[in-house]
Amino acid sequence: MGEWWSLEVWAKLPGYLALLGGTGAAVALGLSRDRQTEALVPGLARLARVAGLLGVEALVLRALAHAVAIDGPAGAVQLDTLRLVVVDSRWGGSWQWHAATALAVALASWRVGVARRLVLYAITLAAAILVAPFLGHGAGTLGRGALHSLHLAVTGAWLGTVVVLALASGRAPSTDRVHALGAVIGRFSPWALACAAAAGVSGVVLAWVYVGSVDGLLGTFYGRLLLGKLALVGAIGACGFLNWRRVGRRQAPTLPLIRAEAALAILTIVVTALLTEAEHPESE
Amino acid sequence: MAKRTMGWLVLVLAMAATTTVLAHMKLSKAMPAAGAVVAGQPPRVEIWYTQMPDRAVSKLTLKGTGGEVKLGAVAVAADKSISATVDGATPDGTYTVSWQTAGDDGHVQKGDYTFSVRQTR
Repeated sequence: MGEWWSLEVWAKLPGYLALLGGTGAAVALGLSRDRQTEALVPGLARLARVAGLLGVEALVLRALAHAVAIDGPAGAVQLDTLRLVVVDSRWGGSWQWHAATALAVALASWRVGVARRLVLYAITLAAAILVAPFLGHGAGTLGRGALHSLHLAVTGAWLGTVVVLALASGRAPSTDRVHALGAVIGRFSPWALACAAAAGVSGVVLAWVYVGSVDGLLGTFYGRLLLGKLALVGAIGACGFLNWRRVGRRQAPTLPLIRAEAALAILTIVVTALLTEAEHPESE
Repeated sequence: MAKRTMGWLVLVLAMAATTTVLAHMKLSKAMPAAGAVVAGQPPRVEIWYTQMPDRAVSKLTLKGTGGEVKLGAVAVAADKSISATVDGATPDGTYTVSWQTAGDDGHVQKGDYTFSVRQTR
């Protein structure tokens, strides 16, 4: 079990950002299919490609970090250790599925701005989300893996879309883009609400599985980190609610609020990567 | 709408019901045990875990005051243990067993414990 500062934590981070960013790009592109919102499409397609490349980079980083965990820093440059990690070990079996789906997502992200390609991109993303938990805590138990996949999918559709929309709006967006953003946020709101609810329920169930008691929540590093994550998610929800209210009143969304929501979402992903390596209360 | 929400809740809870197995592998027992005093040379070192250890990443080393003691190849058994025969000599003294393995989630876990050898006279 790695420490919270271990290389494996930081190797996971780009992978989570890639999956959530890719899911967010797919959702945002799916909601931007008319003249009112087409100004956002080139930026969203570019972000999907960046997420695809990030996913490929993440799979290489994870293999190197795992080799370091097994044989120390020298393991990352020894072919024998790398072969053991990605071919011989049980973890390597899951990594190969992970690699196949990450490459498929990266390839499908090419020209994703074309409507027909979006379906293929969404299918490859779904496959990547399904296999991702089996390279970590989801491994060994199908139900837990499926629960992690569900959590990842709905979190990506919610927070990933927020991050992608904040990035696609640019630093000084044109009037076209602000209007397009308002329209997409209006369409996204009901989905965001449903996905946030599903993320909340699946997150609470996962927390119950891993923490198991109030003492575990309050008295362990893992529990306190989880409470920090909940506080961040609460702050994101508050930002989202304020913008949703503005859009409901036919006012333009507040860009600083969207950016704050996106920054908090990225921080939440960092905390999640830390959680995946922290010792569970049941083991302490 | 309420039926659909209930459907999702039932699905999530059904998934949770299958997750009662602990997420991380833990050491359950060892032979020689931690802190044990062994009369004579132990034939092998064996450690049991709560999940099936991954053979590819499993390692065992034994060190005494005289340096590293030669062990045989690491074997993984169906009873979720890793073991190695003690091939080198173990004169009286304290020995440290260092182990490395990984469970279902692939997390590489490491640990060590000590035991002592007192030859019978």
